[in-house]
Amino acid sequence: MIQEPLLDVRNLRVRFETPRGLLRAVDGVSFSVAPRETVGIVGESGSGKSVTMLSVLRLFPPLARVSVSGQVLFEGTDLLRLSEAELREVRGAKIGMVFQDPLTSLNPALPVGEQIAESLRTHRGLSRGAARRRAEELLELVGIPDPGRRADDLPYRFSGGMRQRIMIAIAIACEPKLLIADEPTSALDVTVQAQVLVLLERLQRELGMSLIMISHDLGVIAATSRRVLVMYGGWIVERGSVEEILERPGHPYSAALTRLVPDLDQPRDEPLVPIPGQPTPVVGHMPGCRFAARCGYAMDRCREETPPAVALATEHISLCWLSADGIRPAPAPTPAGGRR
Amino acid sequence: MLDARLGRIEDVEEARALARQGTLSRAGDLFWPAVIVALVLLALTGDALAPYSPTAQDVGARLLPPFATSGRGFHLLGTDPLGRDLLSTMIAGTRLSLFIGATATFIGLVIGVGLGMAAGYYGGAVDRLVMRLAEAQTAMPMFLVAILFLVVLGPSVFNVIVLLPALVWPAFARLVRAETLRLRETLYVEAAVATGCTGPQILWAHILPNVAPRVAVLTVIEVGHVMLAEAGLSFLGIGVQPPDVTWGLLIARGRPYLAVAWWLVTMPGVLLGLAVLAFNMLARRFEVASGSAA
Amino acid sequence: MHAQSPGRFVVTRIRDGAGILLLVTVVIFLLGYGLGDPATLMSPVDATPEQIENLRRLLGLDRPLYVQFIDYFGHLLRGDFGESLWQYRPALPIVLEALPFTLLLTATALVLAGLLGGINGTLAGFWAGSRFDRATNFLTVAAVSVPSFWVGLILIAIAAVRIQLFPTSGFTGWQSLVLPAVTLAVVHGGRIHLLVRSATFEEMTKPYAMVARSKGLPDRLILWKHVLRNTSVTVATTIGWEYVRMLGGAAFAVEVVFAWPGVGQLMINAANRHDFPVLQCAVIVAGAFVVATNALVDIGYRLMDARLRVA
Repeated sequence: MIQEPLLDVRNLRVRFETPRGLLRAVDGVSFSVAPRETVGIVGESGSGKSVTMLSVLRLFPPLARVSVSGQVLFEGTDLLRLSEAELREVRGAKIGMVFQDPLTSLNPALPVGEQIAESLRTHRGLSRGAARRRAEELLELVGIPDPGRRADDLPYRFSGGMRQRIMIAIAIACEPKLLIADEPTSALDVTVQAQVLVLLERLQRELGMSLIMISHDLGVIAATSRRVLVMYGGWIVERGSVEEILERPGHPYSAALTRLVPDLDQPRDEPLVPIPGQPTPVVGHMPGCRFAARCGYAMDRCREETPPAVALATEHISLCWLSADGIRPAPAPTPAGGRR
Repeated sequence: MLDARLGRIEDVEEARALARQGTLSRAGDLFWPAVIVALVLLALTGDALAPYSPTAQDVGARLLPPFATSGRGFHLLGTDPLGRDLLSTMIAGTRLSLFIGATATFIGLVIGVGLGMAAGYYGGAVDRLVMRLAEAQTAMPMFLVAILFLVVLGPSVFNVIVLLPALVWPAFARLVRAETLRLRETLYVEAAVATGCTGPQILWAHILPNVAPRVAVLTVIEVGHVMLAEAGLSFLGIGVQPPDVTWGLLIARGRPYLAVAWWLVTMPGVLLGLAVLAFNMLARRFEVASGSAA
Repeated sequence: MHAQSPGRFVVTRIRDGAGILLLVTVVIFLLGYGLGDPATLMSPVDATPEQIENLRRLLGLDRPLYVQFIDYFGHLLRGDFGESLWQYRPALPIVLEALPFTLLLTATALVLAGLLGGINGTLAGFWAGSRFDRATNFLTVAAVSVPSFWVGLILIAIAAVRIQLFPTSGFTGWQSLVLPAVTLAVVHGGRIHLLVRSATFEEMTKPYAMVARSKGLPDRLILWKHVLRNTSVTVATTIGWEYVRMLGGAAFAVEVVFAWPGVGQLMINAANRHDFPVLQCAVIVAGAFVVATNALVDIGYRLMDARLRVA
């Protein structure tokens, strides 16, 4: 029995008008997310991963000249065709988002309990008292001690990790079906990162949500997601299960990313190999593969023709000429068990 | 669909976006600079372009409204109480209005940038002194001080040009000081110091080029302010004196006839407003393009 | 960021203000007695050099400058600004009679400008890029590009020729206030609009604004609860500083246009009559007022800032 996907993105294109020309931030992205599933999107900054998810809720910066085409089907409804008012009912209530930097994502002038409660009052119509009580419950759920008193505190009184938990509480307040976490741990200390990831996993299970985890850190994705989408230059260059991508990557970019994840079993003197160069935004026309300029395996064909989507296994697709020729890039050495 | 720069155009959305970015926007960018260029040209060549001599009186053609015709010919903007063609007098006023605006702003710029760099770079007592002066300047009712100044020294073009820089130098000084403070900490300035460059050398070669863009934007804005201030002083009779003519003076000249000949007051004001508007819009374009505003 | 406590700051600011006022007084003195020659100014046009010299000695203008200044300053502290050459009574009361009119006009104009500019500016910044924003944007930039005295003249032309609803000259009752106040409010309201729009827009680009939108909150709620809370201090101080600007020039020119009996009108009359004592007195009194207002705005900003930090 094939499940109806919760979220079905079809051929999404997002373009920004900039002084230098038309920027194709997201160029023909398609993927789907099933109910209760965790999907990871990995890529460097500028790959289009954040823009993709912001486009789902149409959260563009004010004054941005952007045009969007394609379809974003959530529970069967195309979010891109909804009016602003209809979209507002989806935001926060059916789809929740956790943002990267909890320091700047929380309003510095409002108590945290209030920032949770306002979602509840807006979407669930709760009274002030009921919303406040529920907010305290949520704070407890995400692990903030003494929620009764701390709900009145301003954000600056909390540590970075706790602020991120509060952000999560805000995002799940109305029990959304889908939670999008955009770099939820990137601004946190390493020790705190693990705690937040564990929290997200637990909440996902308890609330039965789908989770989209966005990160530039493949280690974070590996720890939480079942399926992975690798993005570069506005394309999904590879998609597959976590094991496939980590152990048998088909795309040179994915392979390079795996080499960046430090491994405890790695010999001490083996260096981490960074990917040379910087991602460049795609303005105007760019023939061929977007990764060609930085790819160690690039051939002439890569620079001239758009690479095809090649199925390397069931549910494992790579957008690469190398894959078309049946060649795999060399991955990082993996000990048995794949501990990272 | 194919576009030379983009290869395949994916869909209607892209086509629309491209159209928006196309020629129409380029033309829009040129409009206000064109206005300024036109005004400058007018200032330089005005006498030749004016339909009549600005001083030619014709009592038989007094106080004619715009689009009227007299014995001499067509008067686009009407005539004044002495029969002088308004358009011609306005053109004649362009030169001095722009000249005073530009000169006074330039002097203020030199003073402000110089003091600002000194304050930012050397800090300490120099900084405190400059900032105190700037504060005192902005806290004073400049207009009233200007009146006193011009009464004591006598109103004239020269005195106005001496006085008006006082209005703008604090803004330049503050901007340049802030930028200098920021730049002082950069690596290449430290490197320059390490290789033995002297203060003035560093200021001239390193800091000045980097503050120049923002100073340029501020200059454009301040020219507008100075022109408005000069118009105010001349309007009150303590600025430019006849036979010199600026737009402010023209407004004053038309004031007694406001009820019967509204164009005498309105037209010079419109021209002045247009000039200042052009400067302001130009400054805004710079700011939007550089991303420092919306 | 602030090294001093609010209390300390108030003291420092007042001290600074006093220092500025002293500086103003010195500058005025130098302008009058150093650069200018009061004796010549106050003598009739046909006076002989000996008569002018006599006058000079009579006024004590042949003494060293610093001696004159001490004398001058001493008089100032006692409220003695000399006697008006035109009205034959002390200068200070003359100026103090005109001051309330200026205050009335500028305060009214400020309230109008603050309401208009503040409200429209906030909305324009909140809905940046909308038709409302683009329309008001052009209008306000145009408004700050024209001299306020010209706006006043245009309003007079319209009122006198067409509508005849409000008086256009002097002070004959509350209706006289309308046109001059509206004139000032147009230009200054325009600038307040632009500054408030800019501040609000900046708030909207901050991450928490996007988070608020992602929660699906209605626009009105976002504006009231989130954005305004963070922009209100900026808006208040913008209005405060705009008042200082208003006193810096526009207000006085508008007074002259409408024959409004305030300090500006007084100064122009005194200027035309070479009434030196009144000129000096007016500048110093107005200067004191501007300095005080400036200090108050600075202190107010600092106090509001402090309260926000604690809260």
